Amino acid sequence: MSTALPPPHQSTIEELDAEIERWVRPGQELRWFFRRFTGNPSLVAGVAILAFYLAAAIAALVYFGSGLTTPPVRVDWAEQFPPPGPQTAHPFGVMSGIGVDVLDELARAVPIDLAIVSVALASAMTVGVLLGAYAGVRGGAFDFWVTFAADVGAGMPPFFFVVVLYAGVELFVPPGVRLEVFPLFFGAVLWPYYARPVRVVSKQLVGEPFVESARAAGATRPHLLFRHVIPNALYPALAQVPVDLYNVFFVLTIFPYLACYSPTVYGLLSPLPNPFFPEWGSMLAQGTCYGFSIAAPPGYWWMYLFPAATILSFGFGVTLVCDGVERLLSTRRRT
Amino acid sequence: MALAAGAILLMLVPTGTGPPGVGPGGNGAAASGVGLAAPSAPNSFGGWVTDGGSANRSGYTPLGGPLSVATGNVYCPSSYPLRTGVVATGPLVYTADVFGDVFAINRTQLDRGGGNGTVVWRASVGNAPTTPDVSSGFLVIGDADGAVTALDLRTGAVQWVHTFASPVLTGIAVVNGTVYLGTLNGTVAAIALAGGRTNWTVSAGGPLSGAVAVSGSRVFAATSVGGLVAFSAGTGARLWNITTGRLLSPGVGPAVYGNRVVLAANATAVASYAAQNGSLQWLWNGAGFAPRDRIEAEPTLSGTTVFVQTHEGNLYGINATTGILRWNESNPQFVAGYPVYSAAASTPSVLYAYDATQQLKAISLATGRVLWRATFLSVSYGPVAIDSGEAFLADEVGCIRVVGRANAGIPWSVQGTVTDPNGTPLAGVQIFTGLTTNHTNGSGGFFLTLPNGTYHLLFALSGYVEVGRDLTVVGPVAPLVVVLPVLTLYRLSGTVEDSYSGHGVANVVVFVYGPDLFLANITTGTDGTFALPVPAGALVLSAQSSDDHGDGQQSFTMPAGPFHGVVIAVPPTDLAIPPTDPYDLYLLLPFALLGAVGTTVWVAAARSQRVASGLPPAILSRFARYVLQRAILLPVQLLVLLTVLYIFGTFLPAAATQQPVCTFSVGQCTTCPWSDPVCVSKAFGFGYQTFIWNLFTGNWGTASYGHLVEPAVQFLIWYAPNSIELGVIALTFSAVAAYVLGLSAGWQRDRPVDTGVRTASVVGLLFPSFLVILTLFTLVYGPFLRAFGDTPFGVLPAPGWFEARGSVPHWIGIAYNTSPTGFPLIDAAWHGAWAAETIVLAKTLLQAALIAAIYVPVYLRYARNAVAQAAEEPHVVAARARGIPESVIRWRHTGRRVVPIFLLAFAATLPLYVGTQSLVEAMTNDPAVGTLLLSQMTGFVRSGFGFSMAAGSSKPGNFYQVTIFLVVTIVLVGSLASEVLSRYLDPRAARAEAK
Repeated sequence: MSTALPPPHQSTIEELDAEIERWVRPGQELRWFFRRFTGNPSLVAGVAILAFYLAAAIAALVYFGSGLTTPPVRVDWAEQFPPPGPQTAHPFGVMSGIGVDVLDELARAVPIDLAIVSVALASAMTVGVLLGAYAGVRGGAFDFWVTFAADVGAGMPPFFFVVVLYAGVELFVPPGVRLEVFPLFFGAVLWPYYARPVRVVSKQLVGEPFVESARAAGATRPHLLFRHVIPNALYPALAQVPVDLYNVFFVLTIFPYLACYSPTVYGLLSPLPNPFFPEWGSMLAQGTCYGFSIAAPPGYWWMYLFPAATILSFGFGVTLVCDGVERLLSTRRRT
Repeated sequence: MALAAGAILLMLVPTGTGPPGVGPGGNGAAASGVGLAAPSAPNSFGGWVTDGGSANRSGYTPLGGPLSVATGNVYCPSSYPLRTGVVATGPLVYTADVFGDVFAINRTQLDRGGGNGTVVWRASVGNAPTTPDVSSGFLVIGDADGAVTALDLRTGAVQWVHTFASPVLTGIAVVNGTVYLGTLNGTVAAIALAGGRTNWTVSAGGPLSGAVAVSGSRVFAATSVGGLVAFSAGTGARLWNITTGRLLSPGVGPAVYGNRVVLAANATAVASYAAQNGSLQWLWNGAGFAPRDRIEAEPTLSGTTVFVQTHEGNLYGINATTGILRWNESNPQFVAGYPVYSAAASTPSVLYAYDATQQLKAISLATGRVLWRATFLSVSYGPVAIDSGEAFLADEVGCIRVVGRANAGIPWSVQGTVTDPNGTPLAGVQIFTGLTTNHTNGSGGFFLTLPNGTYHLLFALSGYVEVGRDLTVVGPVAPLVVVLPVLTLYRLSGTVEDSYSGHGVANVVVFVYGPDLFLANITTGTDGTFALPVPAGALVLSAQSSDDHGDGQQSFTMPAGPFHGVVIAVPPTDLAIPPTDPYDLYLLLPFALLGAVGTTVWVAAARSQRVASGLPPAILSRFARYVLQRAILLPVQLLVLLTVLYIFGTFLPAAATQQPVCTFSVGQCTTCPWSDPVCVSKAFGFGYQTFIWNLFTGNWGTASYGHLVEPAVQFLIWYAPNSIELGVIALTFSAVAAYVLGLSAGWQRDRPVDTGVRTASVVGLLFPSFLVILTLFTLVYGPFLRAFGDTPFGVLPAPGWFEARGSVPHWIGIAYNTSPTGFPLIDAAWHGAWAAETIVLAKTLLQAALIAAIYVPVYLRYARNAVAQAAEEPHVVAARARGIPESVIRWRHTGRRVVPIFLLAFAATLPLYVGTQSLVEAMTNDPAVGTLLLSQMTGFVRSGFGFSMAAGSSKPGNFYQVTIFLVVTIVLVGSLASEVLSRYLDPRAARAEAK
């Protein structure tokens, strides 16, 4: 009589992962990450900059409360000539034309711009990375159609495409929530710029030994995608983020700039409800419009230099973080 | 957009044309008229038109009569150009030279040609002074140093000086004890005449294009980017502001005329706005201007006529109420090299203009006929001035010339009667002498007083044929008997047709003009036909401004009887053109089917033959298959993109507003409510089909840009070579910079080169591109101007640069395009214009550098990572192991390896490149495709993209649709070409994908 032996244990991929986790000492991963992090000064600097902006956003939300989007507008400033420059009471000076304090307006804009940029970039990146990676892993007809759609979407300068799509839908959106909807259009337009490079990398990754072996070990497609492919295919997407930051601020700036002389045109060209609405791009546009002078440079420099510096330092923070994370991932890739 | 972003820049600085520091218009503040003037406003004195509300800058004189042709003496107070013109009050006349010397001159002595004591006093103010105002008992004058000075009229003693930060623009108005002025940087100010205290200072919101104008209780200022602002004269409060949507010529401010503000809305158009609220009343477009002709002075107003004088000496009289052209007086004796900068002066019935033939002309306002000419042979940039029966012209060699004194004030009486053919006296007949307008009395009699001169009298009465009489007055005149034939009207009928399709165009207003007068107007019916009674004789029929068509004109001699079948063709201005025959497409279908079946059969046969010979069945290589697949997909991609644009640009906006849409059949629009889904879907379906069909088949219609109305293809022929030339140079520039920087940075990560490139790339990337362009231009502007004598705008030297060296050469065409090739660099060299070639090259390189400054940082984001990977490739490691020098490995092994990757990066960033070049072209005012594209961008946002007829009132220019179609095509083809080339160079990419 022989009793039937239990069938040989077939380890699932989850069990294998858990096995690896058991071998790693508790906290080791965290310490490893911390060491990598502190050994990467540009990442530290980037995180510090973004942390500052995050803190400023929270402070602005708390301090200004419900009055955040309605800055005090002084008509006498709007038409005062020459406009008051930086001084103790107004360290960043005053913006003529719209008649607001530059520092006050910049501070109010922090949570708003952070929200616009996060929604725009997060939506574009999520859609783009998921579609690109999945198309790369899956191949076939899905891959074909994703590539086709991405090629179509990337067939037109993105700043123009955003405005076309927004103009088509704008009238359906109640005026109160236009600003909330606007960043989503960046997602609709910018996703191909993430999907295309991610797809190429993930296609290459599918052929790599570690993916092959995970597949041989029975990994499901979502597991392959999220555990192995996406983390390793993320680096071109991270390189793209600053470029899209450029696209977002280009749209936020160029149309108020073209329209700054006329409130009527302003309403048609911008998702912002009025020219006083605190937003960095609009501030930069109007600051340049009212303050820049080719005939007598630098003109009223505080009007455009401080908004430009704000956008620049924020973008610098984002870029440093993206480059830092990319390096972190690439180090992991090689080890 | 009109914008156009680029031309905004242009207007911030003086252009190369015209004398520096002084607006070419000269006379500054605006004229206001009689007739419609508000009773309280100082628009006229004694029936003479004033200038900016200033009585002494008008022709008002209680002493003398109208001017005669006799020329008086010449006196030269200065040896420098007098550009402010001359103003007169009491016994003195005043003028100032370009270096700010102000002269008060005894008129009696001036009439005698000078002598001791002619200059009563002289004073000094800043450079490039404005026309002085002497209406208030003081001489008030501004200058380019920003000072406004009030001087005593009799002694020249300075009463007060008020200094602004920016040059005071030509023309100061003194009204009711207040001085009103504008400065270059956009300040509008009111200063109390007593004491010089500032009453108020406001900003117009941008650099002013010219002087401010005052009428009644309002002050008007125009900004160079096309804003028009009205302020309260008392408080400076902003009453209204509008944007005209057009860029204004430098030196040309608004002119006020009772309840209208008339503005030379750009180089070739004139617009009238209501003074009350700024609403547009009419817009006249000088589409018939000669090549390079443009308006450079404020419109002059008198009676109900607005006059426009152009650079080349042509005069246009426009009906101030309707905006319709009354007459023009083309100058057949135009002499190159003597441009017209002088602004005209006018009395209620005569306009005095100094033109390119160096003659002062007196022109009848009613008819546009020249009454007399006086030749001066002198170049003048100042306005013509009239006072007390004399006209003064201040010229470029410091002299004042006088005309009119000799015969002034010796009128002869002219009398007579006007009857109908039966001898019945006619009452109320209008008599135009060119100087005055009179009427016959109840018994048909009239009595005129005319000084010596030659006249063309016109007798006009409704219901009778207008009669003209030439009359020379040198002494007593025998009584005139004038018979007016009864006017017989005959029925004239005709059609207004679309010049493209030949279909009738509905709702076009047809104006009928006789030789001198406007006769009637009528609107075309739904089939484009019209019919109305007109007199026999020469007629001009002018069809104007339907929504989607340009204007058309037809000269025609009406026979003494009914006439049927006159046709006026009007060019369509958008893509709302039905295909010539849409069914051509279906005729092609059998051939297409036949071709598809034939190809399939051939492929199947070839494959089986290959299998039979033991070869793999695939006919094409993997690479060729890839290229073929992508090439087939390309038009499909284009179609999908255009469909998206149509849905979002045309269908959705129309659906949101629920505007009735047009169902389109044979040239007419029948509206279709949204409650009828079948009709609406038909309208949009047909609209979509026509939109796509026209774009793909090159039926791009007629486009209007600036003052040109031409086939869209013509614009591309003019402007595309310039864009291609810039693109080639800029891409070479960018490629070299990106290759060297990318390879150096990616090769050694975290070394100084890499850190520098990364930092510069992030700054360049995030610094808003228009600010990059503005900043670099500010740095380059001064040195460029000093080195080349021309501003860095555009690509060819400005017209003023050429004119300073002769004239604009024959190889520059009407759109400022070049011939024979269209490439400015090649054409300038072709004609041996080496000085111009240097400037073209410098401007092109500057623009290429701007493009590189914006595009390369974006590009490097992609390129740098690629190099880092390539530097770790096995062949590089192997080369290093063999001891090959690092520089060889970098530039040869890695450098070659990264080329395909760089090409892929170029494909990925091509849309950004196209956007960047467009922006740079537009902001540097380069006449190129990108400028056209962006200038219409704001227009698009306002009016929607797509096939306009479906979207009701949305009427984008079709050139926009054509350019965006081309941009998308360029991007798709360019990306495809780069990818194919990349795969060709590095087949591993294809193999990696095949896995």
